[in-house]
Amino acid sequence: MTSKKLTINNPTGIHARPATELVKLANRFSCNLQLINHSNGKVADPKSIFSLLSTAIKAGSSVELKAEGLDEAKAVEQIAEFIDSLEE
Amino acid sequence: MVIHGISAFAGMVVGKASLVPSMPLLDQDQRTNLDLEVAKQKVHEAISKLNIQIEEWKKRASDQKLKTDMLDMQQTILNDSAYWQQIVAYLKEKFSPEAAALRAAQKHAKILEELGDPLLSERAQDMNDIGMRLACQITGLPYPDISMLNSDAILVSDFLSPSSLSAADTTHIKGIILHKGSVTSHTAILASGLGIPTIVGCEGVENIKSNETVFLNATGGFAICDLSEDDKKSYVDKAEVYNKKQKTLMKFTNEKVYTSDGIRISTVCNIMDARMADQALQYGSDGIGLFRTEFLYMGKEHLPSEEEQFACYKSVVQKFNGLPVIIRTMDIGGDKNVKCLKLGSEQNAFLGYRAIRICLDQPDLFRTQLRAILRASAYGNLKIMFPMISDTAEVIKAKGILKQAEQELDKKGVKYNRNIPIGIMIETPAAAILADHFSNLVDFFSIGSNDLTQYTLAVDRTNQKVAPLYHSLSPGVLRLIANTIRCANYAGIECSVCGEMAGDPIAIPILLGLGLKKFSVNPSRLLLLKRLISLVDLETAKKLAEEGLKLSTAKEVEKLIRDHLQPEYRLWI
Repeated sequence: MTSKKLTINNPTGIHARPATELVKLANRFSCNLQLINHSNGKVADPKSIFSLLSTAIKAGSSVELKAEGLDEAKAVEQIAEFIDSLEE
Repeated sequence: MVIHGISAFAGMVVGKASLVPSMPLLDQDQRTNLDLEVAKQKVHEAISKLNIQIEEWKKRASDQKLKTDMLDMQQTILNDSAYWQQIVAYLKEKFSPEAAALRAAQKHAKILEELGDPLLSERAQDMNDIGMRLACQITGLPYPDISMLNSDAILVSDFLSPSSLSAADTTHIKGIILHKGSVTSHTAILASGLGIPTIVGCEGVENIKSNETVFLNATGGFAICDLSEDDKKSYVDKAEVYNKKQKTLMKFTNEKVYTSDGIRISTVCNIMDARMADQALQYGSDGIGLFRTEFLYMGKEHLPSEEEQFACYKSVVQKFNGLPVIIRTMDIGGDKNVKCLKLGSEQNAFLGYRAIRICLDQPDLFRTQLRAILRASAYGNLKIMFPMISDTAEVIKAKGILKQAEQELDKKGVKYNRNIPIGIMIETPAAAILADHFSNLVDFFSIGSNDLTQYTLAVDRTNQKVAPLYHSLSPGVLRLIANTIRCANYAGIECSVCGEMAGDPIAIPILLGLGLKKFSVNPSRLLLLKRLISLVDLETAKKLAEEGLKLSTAKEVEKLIRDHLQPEYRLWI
């Protein structure tokens, strides 16, 4: 398993547009993914927009990304990079 | 007949009403005896067909990013694994395919709505929208479609889904009148992105008849139907005059502003969030004169963290790409209460525990905000401003706490602007009278004319009974403003006005005459401000100001200014 801790920096958190992009990206990988929102303890599946939005990830939240599967290292690297680059 | 609503995007237009029918009624309790695999296949096929359709719409809208983003998100919802699993779960319970599609979408929408975040509740609408589209696709029932609109129209509907608007040929849509919807709904955001005059939340839309001529005044937030021939003519004229004026104003969007005799005046905006910052940019603001940060604190269960504030300030300062952004530390108290601070109510809130007084009393709270601002200062041209100052000791104390915040960042090795400019609001009479002393302590002033007026005249600006006594043009207020500007100019520091007065057409000439070089207004008033300043001759304004300061009442001052306005200037009042 690969995991990485991240902070959500964009002021509106993971809302509609970033969530859409994130889901598209996550679905490119075959590994199982989990995004844990440490602010409220909820766990999201980054491959599902329903799951992601209902985890209510706000600005300043610390989250942990976990991946398990063949392409886990690559998945964590690319998704972490995406989350860090969010600006709006 | 007048139909009142809420303005989602300003504009004025006369046009033919095109009634968009409501959604077909589908029975979401309908059961079926279909074999599970057959039912799944049926939904699966409908999803594939809808995907093809959405791809086509995306192609058609490929030059409009807002539309393609929206369609992209809806497509992601349509193909979501959690959505599919929920549909299958309902199919197993023997619900019909269309009922399962609707129910599954509603179930997820409800989860989002219950989180209580207005942004997410709006996304719940998108989910229901997709459920409805899918159900229509499964049953073959028509989904209310405006993609085939072939002549100019004002759309009138109970509710217009974001996806139908995304799919439409929007060049024919001249206005939108909706019974349901809020200004933050996706439909409203889309309409405003497309520049379509729109009002939402309108009672009485059912009174509008198909194809009748309607006057939509989205700027004023209302529409008028059932018009006589004379009405029609006068409203067409009215809309034309309005649109001509708007066009003239739009020319000022990217213009730097000079008085008619060529003196450069800086025009900036007051904002409270990133969305207003975008508006300010759109109208060509020279920067931000007042970023009201208290709105980060209001209506929340918890105080905003340093990270949350940092992210917000950073995003705003980056948008302005080197232009100055003045962040005012939280101005809580008075008429702005914050639940999570548990301040309690006060007999005399405006004279009480508010703004800098809270911050100096609770330095931990203050330092959290200061650290966030300092960190954001590494990303652009940021300045700090302290509100409600009445004593020089407060400035010295606030600077001391800022120093501590800097040291805290130094310990962590965090970068920030070590010479961040510090300014104060001039909004108490004491600060205005002692402006010479304050000018030695800070890098800039910003005159908060709303509070300065209420404190100088001892008139509570939230009390309707004394409202007629509230007048910013009172010579008592003007002399304080004059002293403040004079002291700032003498000390060589910047001075601006950021209250309502800065955007008041009657006050603008006298403020210019008093030597003001910077005006800060709400984004919606920026273009008019630019237009008006460009019509003022500074030498004439100086004489006007001299005269005005000698008068004894606000009424006399107003008359003096009105008598000296040029005809061209009067057109804009």
